[in-house]
Amino acid sequence: MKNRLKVLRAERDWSQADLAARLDVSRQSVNAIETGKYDPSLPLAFKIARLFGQPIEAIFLEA
Amino acid sequence: MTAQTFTPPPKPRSPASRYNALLRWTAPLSAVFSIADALVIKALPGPGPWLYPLSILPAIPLVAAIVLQALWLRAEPDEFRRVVATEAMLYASGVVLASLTVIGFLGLYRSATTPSLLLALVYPVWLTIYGSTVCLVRLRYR
Repeated sequence: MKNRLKVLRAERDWSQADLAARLDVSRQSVNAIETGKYDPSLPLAFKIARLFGQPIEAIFLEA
Repeated sequence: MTAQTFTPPPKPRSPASRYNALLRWTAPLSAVFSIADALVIKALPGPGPWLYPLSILPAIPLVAAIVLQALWLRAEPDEFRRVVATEAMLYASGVVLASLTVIGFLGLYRSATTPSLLLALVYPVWLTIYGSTVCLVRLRYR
């Protein structure tokens, strides 16, 4: 699944480690989600959406 | 826009990290139990009923490791870490089970003798393979 996580993170000038700390996950998790190699669970997707103040479908896009 | 570094407040040690710390002790404990057990069995005069409890002893750290791993899986808040560990455990178990099946069949039909040393050391073998599969699974997600 494609996502805009990297763009949203770059807009805020956050590093992967910063985002990981805010989401309470590992940096590897953020990297795997950003590269589209791992799709987060619904609770984590909601957490990401809340953090960026956007709906889930605005962040995660169907491939 | 200026960089906003986020430093999370210090947290008390989570149950997952406690289980993880305990897990690290199971491999050396298994090695100590196995070596001590082998030395005691060798020193005893021939096979006897004491062989049964002595043979169970090296399996205790293994059972502890499985229980701790299950508790860690339940307590770990990072779902990606759980996925990596579960996948790596599956692959490691698959490699070990497949290898033992082949060796077992070879032994059954006397094409080769089943090395009992391999059976006794199945946990360290599994752990070694698990270490490799964790690295491989992580590489796949990079």
